[in-house]
Amino acid sequence: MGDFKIAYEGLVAEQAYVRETGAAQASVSKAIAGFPAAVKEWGPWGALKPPITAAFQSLDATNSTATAGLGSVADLLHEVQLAYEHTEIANTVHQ
Amino acid sequence: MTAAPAPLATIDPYFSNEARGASLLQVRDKIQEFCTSLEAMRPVVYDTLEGMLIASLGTASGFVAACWAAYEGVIKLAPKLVEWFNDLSQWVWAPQNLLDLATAMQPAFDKATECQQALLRGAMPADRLWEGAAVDAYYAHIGKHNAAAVDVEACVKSMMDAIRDAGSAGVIATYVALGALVAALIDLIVGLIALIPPATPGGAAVIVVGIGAFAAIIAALIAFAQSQVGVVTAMQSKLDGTLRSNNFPGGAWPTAQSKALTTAIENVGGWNY
Repeated sequence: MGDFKIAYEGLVAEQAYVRETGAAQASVSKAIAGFPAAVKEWGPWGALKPPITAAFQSLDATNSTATAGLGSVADLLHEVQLAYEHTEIANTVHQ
Repeated sequence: MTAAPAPLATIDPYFSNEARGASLLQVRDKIQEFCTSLEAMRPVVYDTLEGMLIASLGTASGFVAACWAAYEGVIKLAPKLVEWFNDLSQWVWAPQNLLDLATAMQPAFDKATECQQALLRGAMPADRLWEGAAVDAYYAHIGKHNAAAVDVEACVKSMMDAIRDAGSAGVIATYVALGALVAALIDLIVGLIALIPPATPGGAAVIVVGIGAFAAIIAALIAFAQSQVGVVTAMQSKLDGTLRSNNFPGGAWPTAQSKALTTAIENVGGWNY
């Protein structure tokens, strides 16, 4: 497949890499989302709990979509990969 | 050919501050135990004291009555000791919890840094294997994901900083307040001593000042804690703004959509939202 093969391998490797980076990115906020609830004692600092909890929830609500966001990149890479395959087949037929 | 970089692992850090709570509860139980034994030892203390006074003074009338009254006072005060310790431990423990929370976030920040670095062209596998206009278009699109990852990293950092600052200020304020409370307590003791006959006129006034100082110190600490709410709320507002910026269309991570992707790879240049 020549250059196409090299590009094809790059696309395959990139898909897995991007998809797993999305999962890792989502884990950043998912892992810490429950931390404010784990604080057992707020004492006179109880008024800090709502904004802190809201910040954690807001971060997780957006950041957890990284799995889907980077997953969509991987999906598109897969489409491009298929396009490479089809083009390569077409080129082979023409030869 | 260069080996493809390894995919990133997810993280699952755990945070709990129950251990500190358990050790404080142990101390509270010891205080409770001490208070219970004070009461249980009452007959022994009375008998021993009376015997000692009779043996040395030949009588146990006036002085021993005063000692018994003092001992009874301590027994009545003992349950308050447990209550005060509970309050005190909550006050000292709470800001320390905030510091622990900020520290527990460190792995998340490290992972956020790792993720944004993983979304740079030079770190990605295709950069080493895929060439041409299509890959340039692809990495132009990846730049948008990297910008989102950079923002998330900054958000985690700002959360850590705000929580750590509130915790540090809380610890300092609590210890300053404790120092002032000790001073007020000394005032109270001095006032009580001054009330012992022959009472001095200033004794009652010193007690009133001591009690007033207690109330003022507690009110000041609560007011200080309240003032930190503004700092944390500002961080939260800024974070919300960042997560709704152009880097997060519709408040979500950017997504890739192909414009009518066909079998021709030339169309890959149509990376778009």
